[in-house]
Amino acid sequence: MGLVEVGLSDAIIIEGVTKTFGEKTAVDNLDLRVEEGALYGFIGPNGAGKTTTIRMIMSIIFPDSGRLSVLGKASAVESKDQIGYLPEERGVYRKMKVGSFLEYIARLKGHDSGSALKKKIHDWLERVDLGAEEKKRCEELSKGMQQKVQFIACVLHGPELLILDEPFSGLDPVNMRLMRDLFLEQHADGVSIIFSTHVMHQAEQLCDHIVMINNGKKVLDDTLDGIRARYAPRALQVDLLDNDHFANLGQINGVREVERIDGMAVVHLGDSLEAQDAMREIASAVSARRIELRQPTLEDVFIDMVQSESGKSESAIRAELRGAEAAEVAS
Amino acid sequence: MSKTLQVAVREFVSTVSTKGFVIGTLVFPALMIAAIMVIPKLLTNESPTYVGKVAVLDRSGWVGEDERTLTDLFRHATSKEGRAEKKAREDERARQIAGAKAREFGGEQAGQMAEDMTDQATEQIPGDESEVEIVVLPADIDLEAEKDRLWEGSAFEGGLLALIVIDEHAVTPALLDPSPPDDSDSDEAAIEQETTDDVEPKDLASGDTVSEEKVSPILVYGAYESFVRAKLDDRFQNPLKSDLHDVIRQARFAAAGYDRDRVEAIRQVSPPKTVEVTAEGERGRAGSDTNILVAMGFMMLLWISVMSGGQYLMTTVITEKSNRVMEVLLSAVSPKQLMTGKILGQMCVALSILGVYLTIGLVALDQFNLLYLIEKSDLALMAIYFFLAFFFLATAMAAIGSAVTEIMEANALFTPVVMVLIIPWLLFVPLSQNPNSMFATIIGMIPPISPFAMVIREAGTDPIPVWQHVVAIGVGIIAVYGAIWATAKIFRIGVLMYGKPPNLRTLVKWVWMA
Repeated sequence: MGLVEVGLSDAIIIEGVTKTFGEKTAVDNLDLRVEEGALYGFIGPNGAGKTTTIRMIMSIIFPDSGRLSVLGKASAVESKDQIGYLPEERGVYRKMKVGSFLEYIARLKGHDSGSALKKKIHDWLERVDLGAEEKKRCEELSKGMQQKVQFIACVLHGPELLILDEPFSGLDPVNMRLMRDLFLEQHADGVSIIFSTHVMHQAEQLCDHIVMINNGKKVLDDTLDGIRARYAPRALQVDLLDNDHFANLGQINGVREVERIDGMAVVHLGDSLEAQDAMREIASAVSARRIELRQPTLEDVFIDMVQSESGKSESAIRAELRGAEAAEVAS
Repeated sequence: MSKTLQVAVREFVSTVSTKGFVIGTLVFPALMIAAIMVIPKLLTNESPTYVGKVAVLDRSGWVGEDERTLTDLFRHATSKEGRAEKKAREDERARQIAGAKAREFGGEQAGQMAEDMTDQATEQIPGDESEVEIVVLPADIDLEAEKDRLWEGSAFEGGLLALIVIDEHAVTPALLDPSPPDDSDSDEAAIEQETTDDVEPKDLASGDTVSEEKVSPILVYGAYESFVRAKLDDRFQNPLKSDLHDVIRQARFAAAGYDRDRVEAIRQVSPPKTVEVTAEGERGRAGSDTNILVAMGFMMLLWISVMSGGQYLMTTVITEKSNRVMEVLLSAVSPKQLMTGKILGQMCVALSILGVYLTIGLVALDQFNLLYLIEKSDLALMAIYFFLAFFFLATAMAAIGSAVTEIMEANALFTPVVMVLIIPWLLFVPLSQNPNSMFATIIGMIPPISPFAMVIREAGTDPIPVWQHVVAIGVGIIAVYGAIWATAKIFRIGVLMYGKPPNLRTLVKWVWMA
């Protein structure tokens, strides 16, 4: 349900944008609108075309065809100074001092030089516990610290639009929470945010609107609530008192499949069986501590859509997604 | 301040403020000073100290008035006393001449002359430390057996160092018949006629084939043969030969009845000091050697400054890529702004290097009163060609830097650039010596070597027509424009490419991609 309220204009408009690299079509006829002040989750597996789309939004590369508008300008070339961009491939000048690096980037982004900027940098560094590191060289900082510096670099100039490409990669849980709070604070200030990730549950926790792309095509574009409404639960989660009863669940009429996820029995319903009826049936068939509707996760939604398109098995797609996540954690 | 300018300022400051830059920039002049002042002192010009024998086989059989043979004279000449005597004699002569001239001309000029001559005369003869024993060989010696001794023993422990065989006509000449060969005569028309001690030429006209007209014979002196031990140092051999030449000459004068000092004086023609007359007045003229040095200096300045700037540019582009700071920058500036800013920043770096070296060079020339060698127009032209050369190299380096991720990967692409840059050095001699040859004219118009070629040509003695500068600069500007255009395309694609480094063909493909 794309909700367009009166008075809200679009921060980003993408219409029929296509980008190919040689043989490979990275982005295929993409349409997208990001409302001003919204927090958009931009999700999809690795190689889906997220970074390419973001780079086109940033005017770092240009589409082969289609139309793009960013913050009301024909392209980001004219609106770069109003955008904060945290690229996936991000780094710092290793030999530069933290304070000088932030000052340089802020000034490149059109911020006035002078004591006001210096104070702002100092305040920001204090906020992320890096007050003592201002005079240190960037190479002396840990990877997590550098990432915080990079985040400051993309918000220092007070952008109207924030684009964050995999902002949490390589962060420990404490810093991940700190960064998340900082995003949400920007969001509360009315900054439009695009949050790109392949880790779907992160997007699920943060965003109110989800855009999902796969193989360069948009496969989903809706609010989180809309998605949940659309993908009504077709599974029940049963916390069995006696695990010997697991086999009984499969014998209930209309049950498609039963699997064990995180110690719970998950009962997938066939088309003929309604959730209400299924609950009753299960309650009579087994003794359970708890029986509840299983909300589809974004991953479930993604798998559901990709499965019908690619014909791959569910477990194969899940393994692909998990594999990418595991690799992320390992790094 | 525009974004391009901000990038340029950062590029300049971050390059110039490193220790590496300061040291690297100063190392070169320091090395030059070292090369000029210190190294000659370290490189002693002395031959190894030999201890051994020099055998002399004197076939001339000449004996002087005081019963001394050539070998005796030679032994004396090579001894320490002999060499000291020779030096004293030369010094004395120089002093006498100077004194005489001073009396005649008076003043400063003569003093300078005296100094010059004394300088020449007091030139040290190296190899004095060697201990050489001159051995006389009997006339019936087996020469081949004697030669074998040249590779036996040691040159430092009394072995045979050299074997000198003095020709029988070394002191008294053979007389040759200069008349054309006659049919009626035998094959040996030009019969070598020996002379006796009285040096009285035989009457050649007595033969029946020669006309009444008397033809004076050609005097042909023999010299000597020298067999030496392998690798015997030239600096040891040359003074020995010089002594032997002196001795032979001395004997010839004595035999012919000439006064040696008189003949030496007759032979002497002092080279005049050439004076260049210009609109500004008269000045001493520097030889064409100096002009080549000036050309070399200009070329070095241009090459080093341009090369340094280009190197830094490539390094910083690669660093920004491998640091992954590139995309952060590109969120603020366009690839074109980034590239332009970086090139301008490094241009200032190269200009600083040029400025530092040029200043050092000019101060040094001023110290030696040689500043007149540099003409203002040369400097202006060098400035123009600096920009052309820099942009050629900088665009190539920016393209290479953007295309690779690590310095190591840049080598394959960097090699062709270096090879092109070496061409002007290879052509240095033909370009500087014949700046107006057809070859030099053509080379001077082909970018990217034209800026270097023109600087070399301009510094030569032969002035280059103005239109050639106009053409070279015009063609250069067009080519620079093209290079910037192509590099902008490569740069835009390259800066975000990670992974396998592209080859030259891929780079060319990128240029033609939309």
